[in-house]
Amino acid sequence: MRIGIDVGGTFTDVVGADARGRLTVRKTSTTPQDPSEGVVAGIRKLLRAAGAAERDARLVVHGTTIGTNALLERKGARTGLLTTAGFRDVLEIGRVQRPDAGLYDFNVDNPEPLVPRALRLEAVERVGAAGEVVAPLDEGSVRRAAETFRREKVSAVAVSFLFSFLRPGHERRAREILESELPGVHVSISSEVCPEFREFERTSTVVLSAYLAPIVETYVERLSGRLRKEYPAAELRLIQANGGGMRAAAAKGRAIHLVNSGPAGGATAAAFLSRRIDEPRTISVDMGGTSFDITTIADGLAHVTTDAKFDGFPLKIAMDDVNVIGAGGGSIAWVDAGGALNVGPRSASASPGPACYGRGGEEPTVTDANVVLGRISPDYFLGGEIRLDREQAVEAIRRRLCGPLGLSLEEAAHGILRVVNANMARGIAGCTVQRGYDPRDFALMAFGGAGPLHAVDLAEEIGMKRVVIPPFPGAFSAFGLLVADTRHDFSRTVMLKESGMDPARLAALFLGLEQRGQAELDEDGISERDRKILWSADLRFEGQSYELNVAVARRRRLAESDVKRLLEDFARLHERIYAFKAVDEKTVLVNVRVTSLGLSPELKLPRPPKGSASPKEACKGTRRVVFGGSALEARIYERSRLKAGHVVEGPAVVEEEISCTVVPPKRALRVDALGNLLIDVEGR
Amino acid sequence: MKTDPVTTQVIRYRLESIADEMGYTLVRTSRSTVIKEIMDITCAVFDRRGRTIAQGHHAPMLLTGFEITMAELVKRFQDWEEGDVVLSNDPYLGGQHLTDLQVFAPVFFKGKVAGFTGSIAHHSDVGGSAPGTVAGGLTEIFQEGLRLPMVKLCRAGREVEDVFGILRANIRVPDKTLGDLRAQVAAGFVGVRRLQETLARFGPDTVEAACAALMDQSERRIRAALKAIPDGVYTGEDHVDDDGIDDRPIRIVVNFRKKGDSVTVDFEGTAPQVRGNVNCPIATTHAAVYYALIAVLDPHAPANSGCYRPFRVEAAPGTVVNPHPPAAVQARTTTSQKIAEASLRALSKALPARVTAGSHGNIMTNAFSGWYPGTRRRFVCIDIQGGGGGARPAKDGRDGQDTHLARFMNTPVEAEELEYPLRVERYEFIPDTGGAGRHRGALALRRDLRALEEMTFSRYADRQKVPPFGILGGKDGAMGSTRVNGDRVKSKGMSTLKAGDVVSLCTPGGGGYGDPKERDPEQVRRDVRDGKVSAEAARRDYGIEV
Repeated sequence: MRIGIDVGGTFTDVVGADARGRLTVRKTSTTPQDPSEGVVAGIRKLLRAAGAAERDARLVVHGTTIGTNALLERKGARTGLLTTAGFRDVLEIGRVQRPDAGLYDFNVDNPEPLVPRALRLEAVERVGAAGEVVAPLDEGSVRRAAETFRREKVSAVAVSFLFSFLRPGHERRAREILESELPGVHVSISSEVCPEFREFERTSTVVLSAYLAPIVETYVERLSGRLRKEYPAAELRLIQANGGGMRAAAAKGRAIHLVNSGPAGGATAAAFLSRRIDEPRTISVDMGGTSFDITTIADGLAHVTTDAKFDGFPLKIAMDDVNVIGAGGGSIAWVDAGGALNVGPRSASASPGPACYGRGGEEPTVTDANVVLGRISPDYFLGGEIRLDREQAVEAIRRRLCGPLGLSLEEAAHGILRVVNANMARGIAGCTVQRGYDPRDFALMAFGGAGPLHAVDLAEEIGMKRVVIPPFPGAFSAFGLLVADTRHDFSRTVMLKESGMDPARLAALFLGLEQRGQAELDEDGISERDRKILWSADLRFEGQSYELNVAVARRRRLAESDVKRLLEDFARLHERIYAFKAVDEKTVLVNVRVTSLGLSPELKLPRPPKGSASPKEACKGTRRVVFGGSALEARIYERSRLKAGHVVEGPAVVEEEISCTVVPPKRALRVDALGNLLIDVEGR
Repeated sequence: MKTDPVTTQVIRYRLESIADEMGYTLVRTSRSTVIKEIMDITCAVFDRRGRTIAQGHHAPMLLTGFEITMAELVKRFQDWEEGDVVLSNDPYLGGQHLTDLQVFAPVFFKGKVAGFTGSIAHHSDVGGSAPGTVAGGLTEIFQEGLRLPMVKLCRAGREVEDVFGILRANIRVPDKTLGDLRAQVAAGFVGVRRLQETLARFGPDTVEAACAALMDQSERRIRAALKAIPDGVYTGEDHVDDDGIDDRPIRIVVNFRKKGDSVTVDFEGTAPQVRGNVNCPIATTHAAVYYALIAVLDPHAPANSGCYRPFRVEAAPGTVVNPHPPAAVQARTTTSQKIAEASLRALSKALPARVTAGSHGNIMTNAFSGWYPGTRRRFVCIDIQGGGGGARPAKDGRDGQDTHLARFMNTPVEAEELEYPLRVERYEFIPDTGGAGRHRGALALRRDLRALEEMTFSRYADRQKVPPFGILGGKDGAMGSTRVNGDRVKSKGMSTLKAGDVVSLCTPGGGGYGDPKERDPEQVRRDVRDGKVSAEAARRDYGIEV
């Protein structure tokens, strides 16, 4: 049995798939002091529900937020930084730019650096822009730094020298010295964690790595030990921010890839499903209580970025490109000084929660609006776990919004939904357009507790044509862990001009990275035929400073024609994204990248029984639901009773344990062979 | 036609999304470092009367300047065709300085002009006597580059080859500049398409009503904040060191005459226009005053034309804040930053808890130019440095970060060295440069660059003679300096560097806020530990032994 287990802030989701493709889904409470406890409990609960034995647990794929939480709470290791002499402040100077929200606001700051100035020390050395040694490494300066680090009792050190991606020798030697002088102290070097140019972003990445590695490694060790004891047959894999798995043993030294992997499960699941249902262009949205995560999927693959920020800090490793905006069920609606209705980014979160939770929340939220409009049933929220108080929701909206805005109760509630949808639509437009895509060419896949409630309205707002609600949208991220391939990404900045793009030299660069990937896959125990190796390169025109990633043919002997093709492919992609054709431009090859995949065995998806066209058997009754301006009697369906082929005509609401899908009037929902709910939104 | 508050907000998100999309398109399609790394750009959407209805979140200095340009544009052209694009950079027609190229496109809906899109971007070079127009000693706008007084760059969607020909023949790096200009055109058209879609979706009347409502909302917010300030005249002053030609300080005075829920701003007492290039064109002057007022009154009011309605700005012609042509204006940022600083100083008398102490007060702008070794290819490397922000009512200044008006990024050391024959030898904070205070002013930055080939080094910097002021008992911040091989050189000027010469750029630090004796001793100790403040300065300024 394969088991995916996703630890969230409140709940731990577990999904298991047996050999016949039967899926079992369970939820347990997260155990924040030691999340590994909840993990083991979750597996136990799942096995019991599936009627499986301990030894049936063969593979456990785990998504952890331990690194994310350590960063958000600033509970990482006491970290020192060693830089090239003259550059210890690069980490704090950053790009000198105040944050967006600080355009006019004097009080908004970039995050304080994770290493205070007193722990940022310098080594005498310098490598030049051509990779030449300008000043050799003064080993005495490294030893003196080690002495200070020892005195200051740091437990991790990051090393970042200029141009180390061209010549890593100085950093490696510094690490040797630091490790021998400081036994037990974790050392990360930038040429290994992120061998790419731009010193601030690279330094920030290696500092994050050093700051978080000790905590993440300790956790992984503890969890491995616990699992070995309880489920000796189970192999443990961890999900990385790039959406791929990594064997637990590899986490040592590469812990940074496990950080910010929270949203990767959802993105991976969405990409997997988009291939299965032949919607290779999909935007997946995961809407929960406080946030709205957006991922663009093209050609059936989640978009990967190497240019992301993590709680305000640049993190330059390959990651699923998930954009987060502050919109969710708990987002608070408020009227600003100019009399405009705003929703979010402040959230009522779980405590006190929306007004309708009846736990003292007085501010109206998105969930309150959904309750007032009849879209959420007060008796069936989170499967009946929380009984909602509609009166409190009404009261909050009346008091805070109706008066100041001069709107009726239903207008105000509907207004909350329209504003939050418009905000989410802006988020979706932003992250697709940045990549040269038009969101209207994509399907919208919505999950998370609140996603299916808003999906159709959101698609209409943007002009997207199809909505897909996957099975068990509340635990979809855990499902993503089940289907994730093993993945290792390696890259290197090479900065080759066209004249330097010699095929033999390029092949050697790729093969060098590939060797590292293959070695990892060997360690993973992945057989030759389950491996897939992808080569790609980041290119740009001379003088530009943003690169585009282009696939490269993988051949032991690259030919001139391969290089020519690469340049042509780049020019074509450039034209698609940037809408202008470059004439007489010289191209620069900035980075080479190798992705090494160990393919997971094909997962059979369960198929619900086929039904006739009429979903009458799944109908639980009717309820008054407000759509646009008018209240209508909507049919209410139980999703677990819907069968493949059923067509649900709007107005309707399809309810399930953790979520519900709203079908407006004149729209129809169809259940496909895999149990997905499809709603076509073509034509207004 | 009426709209409701919800539709208004939905349309607002749409319009802001359009400005954002234009910005993404521009940044990603442009060529030059100034646009891509430094992000000295702004995009905006205007109604058919040229009023700003939404703007991308980039540089406020460029944002608010659009108002005057648009008023001129709408007056000047009546013969629009769909697909037209107008190019302008004339500081005497609402422009900023010549290197800031503005591109506007009309938005047609059902055969009529329903709005405009616009972008402004700082280009690496527009010709003139110095690369990137970075030089002291220029006295007329004619020396500063090609002046383009609102010309049609495209007609009905086709490039006007004559204009492109003139540009190509008059600028040093035509491939970059024309590439960037085309990026601006592409961004403009993206905005046009999206605005047309919005008009089709909601109907032009509803969009117009929503825009009116949005401007009213912003106006209400600003007026409400103004009302809370006692009526009266608030005056603040500051100085530009010199204009690079005549060695004497240039006085900037800002007077706010606040009454009820509006304010009139004049500059009585300000110096007449000068020979050097620090004259500040009227659009930039407006931007500086608007910036200070909005930052102090309501920094999160949606940025549109409504924000400016309660303000009246009267700048006497012939002064350094509203010069007559053909005064040189390239380094106007030096003066505009002082206008903002003088404004904050004035407003500190009304709202001490909402202002900051004096900041670096200029953008240290440097251009290194020469020929790539062994080629006929020229390079122009623009290196911009911010500096220290003033201390704030509840916090220290942001060490080494940009402040006020412009918003830009530095160029990574590695990016600079990979592209140009320069080697950066240090990039770090300078200890003891932040003015002492209950809250400390920010530390200044130092960047040393070694020329690896012969090249020219042109520059303008300021706050090397008049320090950033402290307020409410805070001490002044340190002044900046420019050195070649250790020797001071003029802040505004041009030098030739031999291979091996080292340029040392030191920005000013920020002023302090409040009495240093009231500073939390633990913060002083932390600063000493971090080497941001020396033990000696801790004793001298704070009376604390460490």
